[in-house]
This record gives sequence, structure tokens and C-alpha cells, in this order.
Amino acid sequence: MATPNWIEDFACASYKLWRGHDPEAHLPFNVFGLYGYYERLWIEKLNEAVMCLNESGIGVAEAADAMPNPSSCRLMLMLTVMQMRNAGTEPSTEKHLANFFYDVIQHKMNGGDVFAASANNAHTTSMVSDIISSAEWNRADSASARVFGQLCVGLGTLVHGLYNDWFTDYSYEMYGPYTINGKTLLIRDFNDLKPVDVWPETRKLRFKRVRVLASYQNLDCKISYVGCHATYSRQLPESLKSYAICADGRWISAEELEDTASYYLAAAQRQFTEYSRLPLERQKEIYFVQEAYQLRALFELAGMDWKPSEAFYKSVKNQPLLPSPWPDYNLTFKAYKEKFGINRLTAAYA
Amino acid sequence: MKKILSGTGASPGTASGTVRLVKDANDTPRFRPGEILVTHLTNPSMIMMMARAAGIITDVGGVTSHPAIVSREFGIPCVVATRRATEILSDGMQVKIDGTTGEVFLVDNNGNTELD
Repeated sequence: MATPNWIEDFACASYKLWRGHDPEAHLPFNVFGLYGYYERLWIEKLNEAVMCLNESGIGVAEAADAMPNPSSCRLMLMLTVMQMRNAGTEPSTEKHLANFFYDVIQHKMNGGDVFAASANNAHTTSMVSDIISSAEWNRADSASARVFGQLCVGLGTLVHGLYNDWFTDYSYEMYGPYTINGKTLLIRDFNDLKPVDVWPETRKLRFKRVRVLASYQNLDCKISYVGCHATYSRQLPESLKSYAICADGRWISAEELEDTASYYLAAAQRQFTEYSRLPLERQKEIYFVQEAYQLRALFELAGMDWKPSEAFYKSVKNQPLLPSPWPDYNLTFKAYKEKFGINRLTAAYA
Repeated sequence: MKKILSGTGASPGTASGTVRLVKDANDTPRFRPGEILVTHLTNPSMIMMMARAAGIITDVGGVTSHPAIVSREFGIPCVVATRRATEILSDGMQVKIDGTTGEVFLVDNNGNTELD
């Protein structure tokens, strides 16, 4: 089988994600320290799920519906390639899993850029039009623009505290930028703010799903590989012209904005403070649940138990974190492709 | 102008204010609105302080790290990867930060950026 062209696109787009990132910044702990203990188990589980779908005749469209948003799938593809390199996975399995993730992301992107090299444009023109016309928009002024920014931070930070540094994209997706009548539209989806199977206490939180629409003027925005890592040419509050917020199917009014923002900033700080104070052994356990929870729907579609087996927990229990296989993220492109498993993936197709 | 730190501009704009060094959420009660938050690296437990800050300076981090992402949403300037912010800056110092160029300047008592 010839090496698919998409691997080079994947390499180029994912490379940009790492440049300028700092290993010390991983919170609450650097999960790469668990690589070396457990990733074979995870790869086997993923592979089993994909094989079950194949044997059941479940196609890409149905599988894609059971997968999380595009950025989450892109990050999982990248981490899976890294895990497979570390684990020395067989070439046939590498291809099998890589092809699965690619097919799913391609389906979800509706013709948009699969690896979001500069935009996460998963919506067609008519989809964007429908989203805009059905929203209840509020005009932004300088005060409300700042509060709107606080709401976005509160929601994003809560997600960070629910899912750790690696799985944030599961519940924080940013789509766009879309240019509509000279303005820049960004769509933020916080699709699971109450993951009770991971954090039971979240059942008390206000909303499960929040969609935030924002229209900006004179703003250049670039999304590289994953939505929540967008960069901008200007400060966002200065550019915001209008916004709309839908929480569990209800549009949030301008009068509710400040209270909602304050609520989520406080919830976010509480959640992360609680998370970071847990002992490392407990954080490791939660990590496995977080990783599997992202693919709960996929595992269930494959007729499998989504929850991590005892083997996962046993593999890391009372074990020290290992040195990360990737201590340096500021590499040349050539070095990146070698160290992050891209070359190994390419060789799997040879 | 007396530039005292150089790092990576992670969120555009400029701001002047009083330095406040913080380590974790326990510092929240003593952080005043409009201060310049200085720390080794921000984390989500600092979010309430970050929401009140006029600007953020960190020792480490990149343009996609936590302080960068949050600062851009808040619309406040941020400089990361200065390496020595927590060593050189101390509570009460008056600084001006430029999140576009990644520079931090010392400001005198009259609000002027100090000359060499």
C-alpha cells in the first residue's frame, strides 16, 4: 500500500502545535510519564474497538458520529501515533488505527481542512448560515465584551480541570474562523461540562452543554491543529461586535451574562484546585477514566465496556513517573517526524 | 527605556501597573484588581486573579500555554518565557508590559518608563 499523502499534511499541521510549548506547563502532571507502563493496553483496546466496528459492518459515518469533535480526534490521532512509536506497535495495527482516525476526521470536517493547518472549518456555508440565523444575538460593548471573555475563560478553564491538559479538546472545540459579511465568526462548543462518570459532583453544575457564538471585526484568527489553541491579531474584547450563548438548548440573555461568567470562573477555580490537590495515585486513576471517557460512545458502539480495566490501574500503581520520551518540543521538522512517530507511521505503509 | 525583561509576546497590547508575585490560589485574597500578575507559570487555580489582572508575566510557557490562551480571551497583554520574572520582579514594583513585543519595562514613580 502506498504511503497516503495525508501523513505529510498531518506532520506539518501537528508540528506547529508543539512549537513554543513547554513540557513544564502540563497540568496537573505530565502524562507522558505514564508512557512506558500502559500504552500497549490502550492501543489494544482501541484496535479491538475498530476491529469490532469493521466486523459489524459499521461504516465511517456511524463511527464518526460516535467520536468526539474534530480537534479531539486530531489530538487522539497524534497521541496514538506517539504511543504506538513508544510501544513498538506492529505496522498493520499502526496503519489500521491511523487510517481509522483519518477517515473519521475527514468525515467530520465536511470537506474542510482535515488537519486544520490554519482553520477548523468543519461547517459548510449553509450550516454556518443556519447557525447564525437561528441564534439570539446580543450586541457587544466594551464592558460586555470583557465579561464575555471571562465566560469563555471560565468555561474553558473548567474543561481543563475536568479533563486535564491532554483531553481538553474533548469538551472545548473552537470552529472557524468563518468570514461572514466582512466579520469573523468563531464557534466555541463546550459539549460536556457535567461528566459525572469522571467527576460525580459535576451533576450539581448549571449546564451540560454550552455553545458560544462570537462575531468579531478587524480580527485575524489562526487555528492550528486544535481549536482551543487559536491565536489572534488583536485583543478579543476590542474586536467583539456581537455574541450568542446557548446553554442546554436555551439562549442566555445579555442580563444573565455577568452572573453566568462569574459562576463559571468560580467553578473552574474550584474544580482545578480540587483536582491539583489530589494525590498523584488518584490523579493517575482519573487520567485513565478521562482517556476512556472521550471514546465512551465508540466503545459502546463496538459492544465493549468503555471503562478502563484493572490492568490499566495495576500498570502504574505506585510507579514513579518515567522521564518523558519527549522532553523537548522545539525540534526541527525532521527531528519532530522521527521522535513523534511520523516516520515510523510512514514506514508502516511501506 | 529601561527594559528589564524580555520574553515571548503571547497576547498583544500594553499595560502598566504594580507587580504582584503569586504562587497559587492562596494568593487570591491579596491580589488587587489592575495589578500585574507575575508567576512562574499560571494554572487554572489562579483564574480569579487572572480575571482581575491588567497584565501577566511568567517565567516559562509558550504562545499556546495556559497564560497565553487565557490572556487572549481576557484581552490583556501577556509576556511568557521571560525565564527570570519571579527572580527580578518583586511586589510593589511599577512596570509596563508589552505583550506584542514581549518586553517588560521599569516605570518610575511618576509613571515614566525609566531611562538608562
